[in-house]
Amino acid sequence: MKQIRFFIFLGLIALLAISTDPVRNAFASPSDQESIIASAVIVPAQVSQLGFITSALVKEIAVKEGNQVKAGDVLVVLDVPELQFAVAAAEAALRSAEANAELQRYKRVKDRRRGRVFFDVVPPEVRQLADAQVQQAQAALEVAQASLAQGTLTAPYDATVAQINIVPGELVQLDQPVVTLATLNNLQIETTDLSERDITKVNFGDSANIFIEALNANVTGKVTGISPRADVVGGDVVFKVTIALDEQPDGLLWGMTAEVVIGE
Amino acid sequence: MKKIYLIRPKCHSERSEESLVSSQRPFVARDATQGDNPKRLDESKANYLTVIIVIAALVLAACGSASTPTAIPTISLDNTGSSSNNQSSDVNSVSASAVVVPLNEARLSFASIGRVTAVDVKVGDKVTAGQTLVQLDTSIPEAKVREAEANLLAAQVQVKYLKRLGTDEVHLETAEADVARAQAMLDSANATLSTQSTLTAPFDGTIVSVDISPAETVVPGRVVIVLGDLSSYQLETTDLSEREVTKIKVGQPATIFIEALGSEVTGKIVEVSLTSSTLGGDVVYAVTLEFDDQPEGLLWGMSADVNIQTEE
Repeated sequence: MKQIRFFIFLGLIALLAISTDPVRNAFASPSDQESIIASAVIVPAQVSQLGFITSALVKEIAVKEGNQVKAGDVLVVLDVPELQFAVAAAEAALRSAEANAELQRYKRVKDRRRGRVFFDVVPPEVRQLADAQVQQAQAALEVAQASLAQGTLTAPYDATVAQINIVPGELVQLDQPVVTLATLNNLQIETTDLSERDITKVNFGDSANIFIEALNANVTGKVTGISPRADVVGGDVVFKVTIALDEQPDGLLWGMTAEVVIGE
Repeated sequence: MKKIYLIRPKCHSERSEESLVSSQRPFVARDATQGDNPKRLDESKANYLTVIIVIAALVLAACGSASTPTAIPTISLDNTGSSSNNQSSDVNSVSASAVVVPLNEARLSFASIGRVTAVDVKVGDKVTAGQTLVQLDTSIPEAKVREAEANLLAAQVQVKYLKRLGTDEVHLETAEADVARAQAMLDSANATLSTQSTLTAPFDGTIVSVDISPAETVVPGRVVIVLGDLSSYQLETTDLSEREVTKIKVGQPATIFIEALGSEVTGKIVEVSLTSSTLGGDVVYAVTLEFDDQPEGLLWGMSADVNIQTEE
């Protein structure tokens, strides 16, 4: 029994020794062909990592990961009592200023001239000043309201909630990404290892054949973008090429890998 | 028990073989005592030994086969290093690797905190100087401008009133100072609104990267857009060491081989950096070269080999 087990071991080890030969694999990729082959990854056309420009506790998260949202939908609400109080105070100040301005129109000032008592209207500047104070209060209210609006995060466009990084009650820092939105119904492909030697042969509008490993499916697409600047990946100079799919296959997900063949 | 075997076959020399043998012994003994058969102990010991030797041989064989192909890149790396040294000492020339960069590039960021409302450009777009690239939400700065306007109005009314009444100098001067201050606050609010809430292109160029999406927040100093003038390129060396930089003078001619285009062109030195950087433990200086005649099809980031003629 034991011997059999050992022979199984032997076989396993022998297999390991044969299969792990990365160098030979690396040299095997064909480079003398006319068409260009590259690895690629599926990415959404638009991704937004949303955050706040204020720092406060999270009061409510109105969406869940995977939810579809429309432009203007509320995503996250922060607990910002001081901003709410500021708005309430500004509203009260505005009402007070308005009342004061109204009062100045009917107010009379007692004046004594040549021994007689007159009740004159207030000087025009006093009324103008009261009106200016109303405008001040109005503007202050707008500032308070605009600040309060920063405590609510809304969706900028129709999209899918891809990730939520916070829980209610957590403190959100300034500029911390809390929600990631992505347009998952509009996925495209970006190459990851297209080298500088091949980039000169790629043109806008070139057709591309894409093999998506996860779906075991072949789809077609067109080159819609060529990065004007190279990235250095592991010492190799590569250019990112963006390819739009002619038709998006069912089940395609963000982050899946693909093999693309550009040109004929 | 199996685990002991699975961990061991890692590679490398007789030492691992020895440790393999020694580590097996306690296991063997324990196994035998369970079986209560001293004869089988010897027999299985011999079996173990043969198995171990065969495994070791296989593992060594695997190591050997892997080491031969890896030698190829190592040798080629040494070649380039030594050849550049040879050239620099023998033929009054210095070789270096270089990268294609635009003459003019800008990494744009905002000076204030804010939320982006619109990103008007995408990668590859051509823009002209002054064109708006990214727009921030202006609701707060706009409200602040209106607030400053109202303050200015109130201060002006006060001055008018005092002038008509004919009060003393001191009160009038105070009121006039208030007007001046309110005016300054308004100017400041307007400046904030116009300059800090939009990102504009500083020169004609092409958008190279956009690292911002609508509704995202920006903080001062974070680069959101990279702009480059992709009409004219130059080269910057990446690995010209301190030992060789002393021979380089502005104006020296050079031959440039651009790998991606497979073409060789000429150029000359226009600048030698006065500050160094380190590259893998080596102190290197960036030397800038311009093309005598810029080839077609250059892209930012392409690599090149330059050979600079350094006449003595």
